[in-house]
Amino acid sequence: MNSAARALLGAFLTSLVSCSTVPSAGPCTPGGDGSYRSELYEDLAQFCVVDLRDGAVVPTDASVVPYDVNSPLFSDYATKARAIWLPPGTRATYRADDVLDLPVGTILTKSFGFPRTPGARDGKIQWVETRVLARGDEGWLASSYVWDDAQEHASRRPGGTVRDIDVTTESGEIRHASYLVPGTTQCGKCHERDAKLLPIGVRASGLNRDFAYPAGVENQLAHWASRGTLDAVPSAPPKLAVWNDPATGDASTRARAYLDANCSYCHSPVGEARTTGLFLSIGETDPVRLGRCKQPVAAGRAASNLSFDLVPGKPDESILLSRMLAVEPSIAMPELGRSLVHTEAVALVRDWIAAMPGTCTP
Amino acid sequence: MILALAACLFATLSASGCSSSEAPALATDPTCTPQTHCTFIPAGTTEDSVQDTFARAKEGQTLKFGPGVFAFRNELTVAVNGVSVVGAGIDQTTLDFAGQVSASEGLFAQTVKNVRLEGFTIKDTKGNGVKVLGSEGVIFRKLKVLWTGDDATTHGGYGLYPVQSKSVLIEDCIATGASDSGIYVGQSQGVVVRRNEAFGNVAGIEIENTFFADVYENDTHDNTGGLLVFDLPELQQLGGHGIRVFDNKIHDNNTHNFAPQGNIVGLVPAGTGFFVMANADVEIFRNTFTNNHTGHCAVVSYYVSQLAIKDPKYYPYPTNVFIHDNTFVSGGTMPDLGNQLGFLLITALDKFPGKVVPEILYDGITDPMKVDPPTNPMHLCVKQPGAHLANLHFEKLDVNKPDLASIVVVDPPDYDCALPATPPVSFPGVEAK
Repeated sequence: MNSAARALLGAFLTSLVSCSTVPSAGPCTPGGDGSYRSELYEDLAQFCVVDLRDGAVVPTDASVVPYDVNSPLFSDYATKARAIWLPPGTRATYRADDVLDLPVGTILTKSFGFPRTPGARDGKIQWVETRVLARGDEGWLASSYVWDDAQEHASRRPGGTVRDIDVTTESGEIRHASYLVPGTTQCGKCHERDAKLLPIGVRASGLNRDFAYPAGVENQLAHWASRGTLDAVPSAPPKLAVWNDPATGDASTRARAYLDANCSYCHSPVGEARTTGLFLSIGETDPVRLGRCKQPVAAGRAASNLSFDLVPGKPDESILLSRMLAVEPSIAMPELGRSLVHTEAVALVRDWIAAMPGTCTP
Repeated sequence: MILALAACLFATLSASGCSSSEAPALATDPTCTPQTHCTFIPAGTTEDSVQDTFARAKEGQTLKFGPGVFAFRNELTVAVNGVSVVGAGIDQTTLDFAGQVSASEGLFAQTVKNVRLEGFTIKDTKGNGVKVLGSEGVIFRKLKVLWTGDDATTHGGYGLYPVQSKSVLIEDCIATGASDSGIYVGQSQGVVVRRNEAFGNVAGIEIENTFFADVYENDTHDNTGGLLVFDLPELQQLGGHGIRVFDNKIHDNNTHNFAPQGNIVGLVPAGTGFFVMANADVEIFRNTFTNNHTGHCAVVSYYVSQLAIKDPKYYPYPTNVFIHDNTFVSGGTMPDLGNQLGFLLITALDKFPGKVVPEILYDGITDPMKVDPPTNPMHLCVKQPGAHLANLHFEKLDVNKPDLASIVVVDPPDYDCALPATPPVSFPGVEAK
């Protein structure tokens, strides 16, 4: 079925569902009527970028490019599907160590779901939400769209919600999550830099990996460049390690990659956690700013009676690890979107701290 | 069909779901209507619906809670300019976060101009009660923040917590139970904290790394430390200065220190009335200090924390501190034995007049680069007839064999001086006092 026919069928099905918002009539065009550049649509289908089919997130048009990142943000073991769409005739500008410069009109989607049968990570996915980040005329706009139980329809949920979900860990264990669909007013907590909303994951180092396209496996940056999504790619773009793939780096490299992906959007001099003085981006080289023997500033009881963010050789005396091990909201880090311990990543960070040479003096 | 669709759209906008079941009629407020740019949130409104209302708030809008208790699992966030969040009054409207599973603040605002929070109670947040970051024109008025958990060490850190903000007014609020500070102003500029009550916290009120703050007519009691003004290293805004503390009642701050280890306030002895650490241009006057068991008023450098200073831009000495016209009533009689500083004071009690810790304590640690005048290079001035001052001369203290009694000097003449008045703070909507 082509996308137009699918959209028609979707519209027909949507109209059968009582209590839905106005379905789009006729074949849809990615970007819709373009009004999302000033105010995001109420209905995900109006973007005409992604849809669900047979439990999978699928692009609605060949101009929509699905992608992955090397080390993703942990979100209570959610399965994620990402896609990007650029308005016809536009392209992203390459940047070596920052988010790609994406043109006005860009639509990014990230869908979050969990195995329908808890315990079966390879089985069908029940999608909870699709988050949209779109570059409007006046800057980036963000909102979440929550899928209905029938997986036919996703409508805007600016206030977000909390869902109780049985999720499946990377090791196949089933755990109960209080999964957060973030409200739009919470987007800035992670996505705000220098008081502006920005994407986080669309950077060369994260995108520099292979992806299985219908036509075959190809490096994502090369693919984007060849199809005109990206203006240029240098011969050796930076590459972030895959946190759980030892082939991509040693424990230290992968732990830093994990912290970069999961912490540095806030823990940077321009992020929300700027007041802490703890900066965890992959490029940070100052040991104190990285937390080594650094006293917390305003951690309150989240310091868990420990004295330093990182104590070389002593993971159990390091506040950073204790906060990864916490699920209590005022102690747990990251602050948003994690109600469960990421056990597999904790093991990696533990190894990294344990192997660190040196000691702290009070 | 069209009508049904429209009704359904309306339902989707006004409530959280699409259900056809009749919800009970909710209260209304005739003063709070779309014409007055106000959205009324009556008791019984679901969290998802409240969150939706906050998320759809437009610039200049008022979000008004009716009387009642509203329970939340996620924080409430304000992200547009000019929003007022208003309740029916302290203990009339209660935002209850006992069931919080996401984020740690109760209310959070970031990078907004002119945000006003007024007339409600925030209860049992997992972390801080209200945090406002990087904003300008911030009003906290008639708010109460409290924690009710039996184990006070599990309470959130800060009650009211503006940080890196400008033009901040905190008035007529109550903060109690915080495991760090009831009212905490950090790295801000242009701040007025007045007529608040802070009790049962580790620190009642803290002004930290802040420029230009007036703190007056507050009642801070039964905390570990009543009112603290200090500057800490490794922060983006350093060099706190221009602080006036006056007409406050600072009494009975003898609560056991229940701050978690690793927190700077964990070092404060129970029984502390007020101290200023490493700030410049601080004027403390017309306050009434009563029954603070360790000591009423101290002026200290960061070195008393015994923490290493790794920040080359940080200045650890208190400078230009003027203490005058305060009233001191019965205190300093029972320093905190469980605290290193308190214990030191006990060892020197025999050296103090009446065997009572003097009203004003100075650690005596001075910047070696400053020598004018040599006996008071940091310009501490005290005009307090009848009160005593002790220079603890901590610069001479051997930490391995501390003998405070042999180095302390009571009532040295060096600090009998006056400093120019610290200018008052004013900003739009707040006149200079």
